Amino acid sequence: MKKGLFILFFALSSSVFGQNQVDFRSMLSVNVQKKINRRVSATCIVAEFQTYDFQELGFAFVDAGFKYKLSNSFGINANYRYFLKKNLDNFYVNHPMLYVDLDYSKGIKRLTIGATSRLQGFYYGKIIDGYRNPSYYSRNRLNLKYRLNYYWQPFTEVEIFIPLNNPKRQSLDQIRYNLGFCYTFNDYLKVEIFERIQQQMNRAPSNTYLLTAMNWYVRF
Amino acid sequence: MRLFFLLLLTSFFHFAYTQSRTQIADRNIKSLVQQIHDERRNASQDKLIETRFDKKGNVVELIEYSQDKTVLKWEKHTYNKKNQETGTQILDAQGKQISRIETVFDKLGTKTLELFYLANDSLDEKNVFEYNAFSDKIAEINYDGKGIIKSKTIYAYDNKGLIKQKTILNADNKVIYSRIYTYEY
Repeated sequence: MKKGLFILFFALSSSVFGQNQVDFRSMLSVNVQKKINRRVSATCIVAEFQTYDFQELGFAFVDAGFKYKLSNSFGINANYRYFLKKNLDNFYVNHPMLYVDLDYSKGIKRLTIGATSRLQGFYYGKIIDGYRNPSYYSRNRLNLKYRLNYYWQPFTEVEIFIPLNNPKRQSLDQIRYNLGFCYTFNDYLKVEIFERIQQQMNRAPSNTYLLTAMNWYVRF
Repeated sequence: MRLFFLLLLTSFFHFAYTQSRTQIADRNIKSLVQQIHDERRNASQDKLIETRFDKKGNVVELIEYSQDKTVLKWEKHTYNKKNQETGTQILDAQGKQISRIETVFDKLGTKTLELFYLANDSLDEKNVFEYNAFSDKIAEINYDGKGIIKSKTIYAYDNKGLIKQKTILNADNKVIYSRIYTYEY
Protein backbone atom coordinates (compact mmCIF):
# COMPACT_ATOMS: atom_id res chain seq x y z
CA MET A 1 0.00 0.00 0.00
CA LYS A 2 2.71 2.47 1.06
CA LYS A 3 4.97 1.45 -1.81
CA GLY A 4 2.00 1.81 -4.15
CA LEU A 5 1.48 5.41 -3.04
CA PHE A 6 5.06 6.26 -3.95
CA ILE A 7 4.75 4.68 -7.38
CA LEU A 8 1.54 6.65 -7.90
CA PHE A 9 3.28 9.87 -6.89
CA PHE A 10 6.13 9.26 -9.32
CA ALA A 11 3.69 8.48 -12.10
CA LEU A 12 1.54 11.55 -11.52
CA SER A 13 4.29 14.01 -10.69
CA SER A 14 5.86 13.89 -14.14
CA SER A 15 2.65 15.00 -15.81
CA VAL A 16 1.76 17.64 -13.18
CA PHE A 17 5.06 19.38 -12.50
CA GLY A 18 7.13 18.84 -15.59
CA GLN A 19 4.75 20.55 -18.00
CA ASN A 20 7.44 22.74 -19.57
CA GLN A 21 9.87 19.86 -19.72
CA VAL A 22 10.15 17.52 -22.63
CA ASP A 23 13.20 15.49 -21.66
CA PHE A 24 13.88 12.96 -18.96
CA ARG A 25 16.47 14.13 -16.45
CA SER A 26 18.26 11.96 -14.00
CA MET A 27 21.09 12.01 -11.53
CA LEU A 28 23.19 9.16 -10.30
CA SER A 29 25.69 9.39 -7.48
CA VAL A 30 27.88 7.13 -5.40
CA ASN A 31 28.78 8.37 -1.92
CA VAL A 32 31.61 6.60 -0.14
CA GLN A 33 32.24 7.22 3.53
CA LYS A 34 35.25 5.91 5.39
CA LYS A 35 34.75 6.06 9.15
CA ILE A 36 38.11 6.99 10.62
CA ASN A 37 36.80 6.92 14.15
CA ARG A 38 33.50 7.53 15.91
CA ARG A 39 33.62 11.26 15.16
CA VAL A 40 35.59 11.69 11.95
CA SER A 41 34.93 10.30 8.50
CA ALA A 42 36.34 10.96 5.07
CA THR A 43 33.85 11.20 2.23
CA CYS A 44 34.05 10.91 -1.53
CA ILE A 45 31.18 11.48 -3.95
CA VAL A 46 31.04 10.82 -7.67
CA ALA A 47 27.93 12.01 -9.50
CA GLU A 48 26.60 12.63 -12.96
CA PHE A 49 23.53 14.46 -14.22
CA GLN A 50 21.94 13.40 -17.50
CA THR A 51 19.56 15.42 -19.64
CA TYR A 52 17.75 14.89 -22.93
CA ASP A 53 16.68 11.34 -22.18
CA PHE A 54 20.18 10.15 -21.24
CA GLN A 55 21.67 11.59 -24.43
CA GLU A 56 23.56 14.48 -22.89
CA LEU A 57 25.67 14.91 -19.82
CA GLY A 58 24.54 18.03 -17.94
CA PHE A 59 27.30 17.90 -15.38
CA ALA A 60 29.46 15.52 -13.45
CA PHE A 61 31.50 16.02 -10.33
CA VAL A 62 33.93 14.46 -7.94
CA ASP A 63 33.70 15.55 -4.33
CA ALA A 64 35.98 14.92 -1.38
CA GLY A 65 35.71 16.06 2.20
CA PHE A 66 35.73 15.40 5.89
CA LYS A 67 32.81 15.00 8.24
CA TYR A 68 33.01 15.62 11.98
CA LYS A 69 30.33 14.50 14.41
CA LEU A 70 29.97 17.25 17.02
CA SER A 71 27.34 15.36 19.02
CA ASN A 72 24.65 12.78 18.40
CA SER A 73 22.54 15.45 16.72
CA PHE A 74 25.03 17.85 15.14
CA GLY A 75 27.67 17.30 12.51
CA ILE A 76 29.82 19.49 10.31
CA ASN A 77 31.55 18.77 7.04
CA ALA A 78 33.82 20.63 4.67
CA ASN A 79 34.12 19.53 1.03
CA TYR A 80 35.80 20.33 -2.24
CA ARG A 81 33.85 19.57 -5.40
CA TYR A 82 35.27 19.54 -8.90
CA PHE A 83 32.63 20.06 -11.58
CA LEU A 84 32.59 19.26 -15.27
CA LYS A 85 29.68 21.38 -16.40
CA LYS A 86 28.08 22.13 -19.73
CA ASN A 87 27.89 25.87 -20.42
CA LEU A 88 25.46 27.79 -22.61
CA ASP A 89 27.75 27.32 -25.61
CA ASN A 90 27.53 23.55 -25.16
CA PHE A 91 31.13 23.26 -24.01
CA TYR A 92 32.15 21.39 -20.92
CA VAL A 93 34.11 23.52 -18.51
CA ASN A 94 35.72 22.76 -15.17
CA HIS A 95 34.68 24.62 -12.04
CA PRO A 96 35.64 24.03 -8.45
CA MET A 97 33.21 24.44 -5.59
CA LEU A 98 33.85 24.65 -1.87
CA TYR A 99 31.21 24.19 0.76
CA VAL A 100 30.64 23.73 4.47
CA ASP A 101 27.57 21.97 5.90
CA LEU A 102 26.14 22.08 9.38
CA ASP A 103 23.83 19.12 9.93
CA TYR A 104 21.23 18.49 12.57
CA SER A 105 19.13 15.40 13.00
CA LYS A 106 16.84 14.24 15.74
CA GLY A 107 14.99 10.97 15.93
CA ILE A 108 11.59 10.79 17.55
CA LYS A 109 10.54 7.15 17.61
CA ARG A 110 10.40 6.12 13.91
CA LEU A 111 10.55 9.68 12.63
CA THR A 112 13.79 11.55 11.95
CA ILE A 113 13.81 15.29 11.45
CA GLY A 114 16.91 16.72 9.83
CA ALA A 115 18.20 20.07 8.74
CA THR A 116 21.28 21.07 6.78
CA SER A 117 22.63 24.54 6.35
CA ARG A 118 25.21 24.91 3.61
CA LEU A 119 27.48 27.77 2.63
CA GLN A 120 28.93 27.23 -0.81
CA GLY A 121 31.20 29.07 -3.16
CA PHE A 122 31.17 28.20 -6.85
CA TYR A 123 34.27 29.43 -8.63
CA TYR A 124 34.00 30.19 -12.34
CA GLY A 125 37.43 31.76 -12.80
CA LYS A 126 38.32 32.36 -16.42
CA ILE A 127 35.44 31.86 -18.78
CA ILE A 128 35.29 32.14 -22.55
CA ASP A 129 34.50 35.86 -22.53
CA GLY A 130 36.62 36.99 -19.62
CA TYR A 131 36.38 36.44 -15.89
CA ARG A 132 33.32 35.74 -13.80
CA ASN A 133 33.14 36.32 -10.07
CA PRO A 134 32.47 33.39 -7.79
CA SER A 135 28.86 32.87 -6.80
CA TYR A 136 28.10 32.29 -3.16
CA TYR A 137 24.98 30.61 -1.89
CA SER A 138 23.32 29.75 1.37
CA ARG A 139 21.40 26.53 0.95
CA ASN A 140 19.07 25.32 3.68
CA ARG A 141 17.42 21.95 3.67
CA LEU A 142 14.80 20.35 5.89
CA ASN A 143 14.04 16.67 5.71
CA LEU A 144 11.69 14.22 7.27
CA LYS A 145 12.30 10.49 7.27
CA TYR A 146 10.05 7.73 8.50
CA ARG A 147 11.54 4.35 9.27
CA LEU A 148 9.07 1.65 8.28
CA ASN A 149 11.58 -1.01 9.26
CA TYR A 150 15.34 -1.59 9.03
CA TYR A 151 15.18 -1.76 5.22
CA TRP A 152 12.61 0.83 4.05
CA GLN A 153 12.61 4.50 4.87
CA PRO A 154 10.48 6.94 2.86
CA PHE A 155 11.53 10.56 3.07
CA THR A 156 10.72 14.03 1.91
CA GLU A 157 12.96 17.09 1.68
CA VAL A 158 12.71 20.75 0.83
CA GLU A 159 15.72 22.91 0.07
CA ILE A 160 15.96 26.62 -0.61
CA PHE A 161 18.80 28.41 -2.41
CA ILE A 162 19.59 31.97 -1.34
CA PRO A 163 22.15 33.84 -3.47
CA LEU A 164 24.55 35.84 -1.34
CA ASN A 165 26.38 37.95 -3.90
CA ASN A 166 24.23 38.07 -7.00
CA PRO A 167 23.22 41.71 -7.68
CA LYS A 168 20.27 40.64 -9.84
CA ARG A 169 18.81 38.15 -7.39
CA GLN A 170 17.98 39.53 -3.98
CA SER A 171 15.94 36.67 -2.59
CA LEU A 172 15.82 32.91 -2.97
CA ASP A 173 16.19 31.76 -6.53
CA GLN A 174 15.49 28.06 -6.31
CA ILE A 175 13.45 25.57 -4.29
CA ARG A 176 13.89 21.83 -4.52
CA TYR A 177 11.37 19.31 -3.28
CA ASN A 178 12.37 15.68 -2.99
CA LEU A 179 10.18 12.70 -2.30
CA GLY A 180 11.48 9.18 -2.32
CA PHE A 181 12.61 6.26 -0.30
CA CYS A 182 15.77 4.80 1.04
CA TYR A 183 16.48 1.08 1.01
CA THR A 184 19.12 -0.22 3.41
CA PHE A 185 20.80 -3.44 2.30
CA ASN A 186 22.98 -3.57 5.39
CA ASP A 187 24.95 -1.21 7.66
CA TYR A 188 27.45 -0.64 4.86
CA LEU A 189 25.25 -0.17 1.80
CA LYS A 190 22.05 1.71 1.08
CA VAL A 191 20.35 3.35 -1.88
CA GLU A 192 18.08 6.36 -2.16
CA ILE A 193 15.68 6.80 -5.06
CA PHE A 194 13.72 9.99 -5.28
CA GLU A 195 11.85 12.34 -7.51
CA ARG A 196 12.87 16.00 -7.42
CA ILE A 197 10.93 19.07 -8.41
CA GLN A 198 13.43 21.82 -9.05
CA GLN A 199 11.66 25.16 -9.15
CA GLN A 200 13.66 28.20 -10.25
CA MET A 201 12.39 31.65 -9.29
CA ASN A 202 13.29 35.34 -9.32
CA ARG A 203 15.29 34.88 -12.48
CA ALA A 204 14.59 34.83 -16.17
CA PRO A 205 13.67 32.28 -17.33
CA SER A 206 12.31 30.63 -14.18
CA ASN A 207 11.73 27.03 -15.10
CA THR A 208 10.52 24.05 -13.19
CA TYR A 209 12.26 20.76 -13.79
CA LEU A 210 11.57 17.24 -12.75
CA LEU A 211 14.39 14.91 -12.00
CA THR A 212 14.74 11.30 -10.99
CA ALA A 213 17.73 10.53 -8.83
CA MET A 214 19.49 7.52 -7.43
CA ASN A 215 22.13 7.91 -4.72
CA TRP A 216 24.19 4.96 -3.53
CA TYR A 217 25.84 5.14 -0.10
CA VAL A 218 28.74 2.92 0.83
CA ARG A 219 30.39 3.19 4.23
CA PHE A 220 33.11 1.18 5.83
CA MET B 1 30.66 -7.92 45.19
CA ARG B 2 29.85 -7.55 41.50
CA LEU B 3 26.74 -9.65 41.95
CA PHE B 4 25.63 -7.30 44.69
CA PHE B 5 26.02 -4.31 42.37
CA LEU B 6 24.09 -6.09 39.64
CA LEU B 7 21.25 -6.94 42.01
CA LEU B 8 21.20 -3.36 43.17
CA LEU B 9 21.03 -1.98 39.64
CA THR B 10 18.31 -4.48 38.74
CA SER B 11 16.15 -3.43 41.69
CA PHE B 12 16.66 0.25 40.82
CA PHE B 13 15.72 -0.16 37.18
CA HIS B 14 12.68 -2.21 38.17
CA PHE B 15 11.44 0.78 40.11
CA ALA B 16 12.46 3.31 37.51
CA TYR B 17 10.35 1.68 34.83
CA THR B 18 7.19 1.46 36.90
CA GLN B 19 6.69 5.20 36.45
CA SER B 20 8.34 6.77 33.46
CA ARG B 21 10.73 9.67 33.82
CA THR B 22 8.69 11.73 31.37
CA GLN B 23 5.47 11.14 33.30
CA ILE B 24 7.15 12.32 36.50
CA ALA B 25 8.71 15.40 34.87
CA ASP B 26 5.55 16.38 32.97
CA ARG B 27 3.59 16.51 36.19
CA ASN B 28 6.30 18.35 38.18
CA ILE B 29 6.38 15.60 40.77
CA LYS B 30 8.99 16.26 43.45
CA SER B 31 8.59 13.14 45.52
CA LEU B 32 6.59 9.97 45.87
CA VAL B 33 5.70 7.90 48.90
CA GLN B 34 4.61 4.30 48.36
CA GLN B 35 3.01 2.38 51.20
CA ILE B 36 3.15 -1.31 50.47
CA HIS B 37 0.96 -3.83 52.21
CA ASP B 38 0.76 -7.36 50.88
CA GLU B 39 -1.85 -9.69 52.38
CA ARG B 40 0.04 -12.66 50.99
CA ARG B 41 2.97 -11.83 53.20
CA ASN B 42 3.49 -11.26 56.87
CA ALA B 43 2.37 -7.78 57.99
CA SER B 44 5.87 -7.22 59.36
CA GLN B 45 7.02 -7.12 55.74
CA ASP B 46 5.00 -3.98 55.01
CA LYS B 47 7.17 -1.29 53.52
CA LEU B 48 7.26 2.41 52.90
CA ILE B 49 9.30 3.72 49.99
CA GLU B 50 10.17 7.40 49.66
CA THR B 51 11.45 8.60 46.30
CA ARG B 52 12.67 12.09 45.40
CA PHE B 53 12.97 13.29 41.80
CA ASP B 54 14.84 16.08 40.08
CA LYS B 55 13.17 18.49 37.64
CA LYS B 56 13.75 16.09 34.76
CA GLY B 57 11.98 13.24 36.55
CA ASN B 58 15.12 11.31 37.47
CA VAL B 59 15.18 9.45 40.78
CA VAL B 60 17.74 11.26 42.93
CA GLU B 61 17.04 9.52 46.22
CA LEU B 62 15.23 6.37 47.23
CA ILE B 63 14.74 5.26 50.83
CA GLU B 64 12.96 2.05 51.75
CA TYR B 65 11.65 1.68 55.32
CA SER B 66 10.29 -1.32 57.14
CA GLN B 67 7.07 -1.20 59.19
CA ASP B 68 9.01 -0.06 62.28
CA LYS B 69 10.68 2.79 60.28
CA THR B 70 14.02 1.03 60.02
CA VAL B 71 15.93 1.97 56.88
CA LEU B 72 16.16 -1.12 54.65
CA LYS B 73 17.62 0.52 51.59
CA TRP B 74 18.99 3.99 50.86
CA GLU B 75 20.25 5.04 47.45
CA LYS B 76 21.30 8.33 45.91
CA HIS B 77 21.62 8.89 42.16
CA THR B 78 23.18 11.57 39.99
CA TYR B 79 22.72 12.22 36.28
CA ASN B 80 24.33 14.15 33.47
CA LYS B 81 22.58 16.63 31.15
CA LYS B 82 21.41 13.79 28.93
CA ASN B 83 19.71 12.10 31.91
CA GLN B 84 22.25 9.30 31.92
CA GLU B 85 23.01 7.99 35.38
CA THR B 86 26.53 9.00 36.35
CA GLY B 87 26.53 8.01 40.00
CA THR B 88 24.83 5.61 42.38
CA GLN B 89 25.57 5.71 46.08
CA ILE B 90 24.36 3.03 48.48
CA LEU B 91 24.04 4.13 52.09
CA ASP B 92 23.39 2.34 55.35
CA ALA B 93 20.69 3.30 57.88
CA GLN B 94 22.96 5.99 59.35
CA GLY B 95 23.64 7.53 55.97
CA LYS B 96 27.20 6.20 55.67
CA GLN B 97 28.37 4.98 52.30
CA ILE B 98 28.35 1.22 51.72
CA SER B 99 29.33 1.37 48.07
CA ARG B 100 29.31 3.68 45.09
CA ILE B 101 29.18 3.29 41.31
CA GLU B 102 30.45 6.02 39.02
CA THR B 103 29.69 5.89 35.30
CA VAL B 104 31.52 7.98 32.71
CA PHE B 105 30.03 8.84 29.34
CA ASP B 106 31.80 10.50 26.42
CA LYS B 107 30.46 13.55 24.58
CA LEU B 108 28.53 11.32 22.18
CA GLY B 109 26.65 9.89 25.17
CA THR B 110 28.35 6.50 25.12
CA LYS B 111 29.31 4.75 28.33
CA THR B 112 33.06 4.43 28.46
CA LEU B 113 33.85 3.61 32.08
CA GLU B 114 32.20 2.14 35.17
CA LEU B 115 33.92 2.48 38.55
CA PHE B 116 32.86 0.48 41.59
CA TYR B 117 33.92 1.87 44.99
CA LEU B 118 33.77 0.38 48.46
CA ALA B 119 32.66 1.95 51.76
CA ASN B 120 36.03 3.66 52.30
CA ASP B 121 35.85 5.00 48.73
CA SER B 122 38.67 2.78 47.54
CA LEU B 123 38.30 1.37 44.03
CA ASP B 124 36.98 -2.17 44.03
CA GLU B 125 36.50 -2.83 40.31
CA LYS B 126 36.24 -1.02 37.03
CA ASN B 127 34.79 -1.77 33.62
CA VAL B 128 36.22 -0.16 30.49
CA PHE B 129 34.06 -0.14 27.36
CA GLU B 130 35.47 -0.02 23.83
CA TYR B 131 33.59 0.82 20.65
CA ASN B 132 34.26 0.58 16.91
CA ALA B 133 33.90 3.50 14.47
CA PHE B 134 30.19 2.67 14.05
CA SER B 135 29.66 3.04 17.84
CA ASP B 136 29.04 -0.69 18.38
CA LYS B 137 30.39 -1.92 21.70
CA ILE B 138 33.20 -4.31 20.85
CA ALA B 139 34.76 -4.97 24.26
CA GLU B 140 34.10 -4.68 27.96
CA ILE B 141 37.19 -5.14 30.12
CA ASN B 142 36.80 -5.82 33.80
CA TYR B 143 39.70 -4.78 36.08
CA ASP B 144 40.16 -5.24 39.81
CA GLY B 145 40.95 -2.32 42.10
CA LYS B 146 44.67 -2.60 41.34
CA GLY B 147 44.15 -2.35 37.58
CA ILE B 148 44.72 -6.03 36.82
CA ILE B 149 42.44 -7.54 34.17
CA LYS B 150 39.94 -9.99 35.64
CA SER B 151 37.96 -10.71 32.49
CA LYS B 152 37.27 -9.40 29.02
CA THR B 153 34.03 -9.65 27.07
CA ILE B 154 34.27 -9.34 23.30
CA TYR B 155 31.32 -8.63 21.01
CA ALA B 156 31.12 -9.22 17.24
CA TYR B 157 28.36 -7.98 14.92
CA ASP B 158 26.93 -8.99 11.57
CA ASN B 159 26.58 -6.56 8.64
CA LYS B 160 23.13 -5.45 9.84
CA GLY B 161 24.49 -4.37 13.22
CA LEU B 162 23.17 -7.32 15.21
CA ILE B 163 25.32 -9.15 17.72
CA LYS B 164 26.93 -12.21 16.18
CA GLN B 165 29.08 -13.48 19.00
CA LYS B 166 29.77 -12.79 22.65
CA THR B 167 32.94 -14.23 24.12
CA ILE B 168 34.24 -13.92 27.65
CA LEU B 169 37.95 -14.40 28.31
CA ASN B 170 39.49 -14.83 31.74
CA ALA B 171 42.62 -13.11 33.03
CA ASP B 172 44.78 -15.63 31.14
CA ASN B 173 43.01 -14.83 27.85
CA LYS B 174 41.31 -18.24 27.88
CA VAL B 175 37.74 -18.45 26.59
CA ILE B 176 35.43 -19.23 29.48
CA TYR B 177 32.13 -18.43 27.81
CA SER B 178 30.91 -18.12 24.26
CA ARG B 179 27.53 -17.47 22.69
CA ILE B 180 26.99 -17.49 18.94
CA TYR B 181 23.89 -15.86 17.44
CA THR B 182 22.55 -17.05 14.08
CA TYR B 183 19.74 -15.05 12.52
CA GLU B 184 17.51 -16.12 9.67
CA TYR B 185 16.78 -13.09 7.47
